[in-house]
Amino acid sequence: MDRTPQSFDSLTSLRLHLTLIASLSPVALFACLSGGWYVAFVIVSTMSIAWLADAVFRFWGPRREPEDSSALLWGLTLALVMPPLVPFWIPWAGILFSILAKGLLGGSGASWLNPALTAWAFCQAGWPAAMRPAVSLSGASDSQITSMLATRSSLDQGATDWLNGNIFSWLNLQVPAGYVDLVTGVGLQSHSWNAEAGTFFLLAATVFLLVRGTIPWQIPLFFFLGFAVPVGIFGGLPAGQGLFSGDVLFQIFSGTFLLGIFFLATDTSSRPLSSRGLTLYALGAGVLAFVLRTWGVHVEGVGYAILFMNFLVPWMDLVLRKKVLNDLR
Amino acid sequence: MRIADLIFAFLLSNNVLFSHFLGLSELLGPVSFQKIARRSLILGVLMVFSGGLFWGLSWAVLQPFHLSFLTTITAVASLAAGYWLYIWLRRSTGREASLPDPQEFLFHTLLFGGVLLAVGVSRDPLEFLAVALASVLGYSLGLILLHAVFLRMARERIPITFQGLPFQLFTLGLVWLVLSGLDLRFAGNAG
Repeated sequence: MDRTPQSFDSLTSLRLHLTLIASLSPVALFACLSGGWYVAFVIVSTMSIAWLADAVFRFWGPRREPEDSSALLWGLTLALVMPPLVPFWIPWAGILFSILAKGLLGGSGASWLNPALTAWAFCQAGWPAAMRPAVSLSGASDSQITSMLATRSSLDQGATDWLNGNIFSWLNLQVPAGYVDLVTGVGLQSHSWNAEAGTFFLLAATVFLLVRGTIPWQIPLFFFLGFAVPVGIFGGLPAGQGLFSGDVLFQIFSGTFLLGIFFLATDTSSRPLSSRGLTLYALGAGVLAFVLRTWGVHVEGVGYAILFMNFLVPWMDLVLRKKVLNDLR
Repeated sequence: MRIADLIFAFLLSNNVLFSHFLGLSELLGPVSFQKIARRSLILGVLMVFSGGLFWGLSWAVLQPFHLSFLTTITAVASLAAGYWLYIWLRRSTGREASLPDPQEFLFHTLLFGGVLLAVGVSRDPLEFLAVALASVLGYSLGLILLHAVFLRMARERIPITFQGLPFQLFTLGLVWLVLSGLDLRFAGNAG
């Protein structure tokens, strides 16, 4: 289709989705290397089912919509927020539900909720036992964290010693043992979620996306502040450690937090339009994610926090919109 | 810590609207933000008044005289007292047009019956205040959430065969799917 005269931005929805898929590819690759053939099968099959279902819905559905590869992105994202040993048909069922919800509630580009997270919540509600990972990194106490990070790789030992000896000693700080493994995903043998295996690549991808302006900077920044500040102040309370004893580093690099703030919360169709709306949306999601991760019954609260804020987006767009001349609404 | 537990529990997961009356959301209807704010303020005052009355009666009369079997009746009577106070204020101030309709208001106060019973359990007045205010705050959040859902429902292109009740039920299902994730570990003990 030719570009219309008023079209001034080269970033089409197809190009945006392909960019995001390319950014997540190293993470998926590392998850496959870490989890083996089964994880690779889950990722590829979920993406294929998503693409097929979307194609069928676009062909037979009430609206004829152009192919924009969004279904492939949702399939990939959903597979990354799954535990490595999840039965393969669960993400399939989740993505089919999500495609149906998208088709019935507005169609492409008008999703009420993040489609990958809708599928994830559907799976959580339907098969909670299968969705619970073998090793729960989220909401863990200090002693649990220590035991999880006890088996360090040689990379962690070497890198931690080098960082503490050459860089952090100048700042009078020390990197705790096991955290290099947590960031790189090398040493942890059993990940809670597939995305955790490629945290380093996830960070690298987000730098690329932020520099290119593909995702708005307000969401990662204020989501991080809304989450990290309460974690630092109140994070130690559930374990009886008092104020200002929360483990911010661990909470940020574990679970689906990084994937959430950079890829899930920034979904173009389910985020607010205005800058103030983006700030409120991200801050609310961050604080809610902290509450749910610390005291929630589910293993991971980041997804629910984003979904809850997704519901409030129309209200934010209405209340926080910028007043313009002759605004008669 | 107990106060914080109560606030979070009643704000998020023990909120009557969220957990028990979600299916009635259609009755609430779409409202503007100003109406939500006004309604929440009035409900807040009513909750503190009715809750305080019930709490006082519960610990000053029912418990000392072994009349616990009258707890539910006292809770309803306290709510009725708050409701009639609202009606009287509405008439006496002469601002009937700008304040919520009495029938609509009665429906909203009935939703708080469960909260009121939970208020009477604790002897600590600070806990009663925390529960009352967090419930109203959570209720306001629920109204804002439903307002946002109604905005979505009004502006999206819904297939003709799916419009009406199927669409509303599907939407409520999605709302439940999200709210089911807001359960907190201590919510069962807080009430």
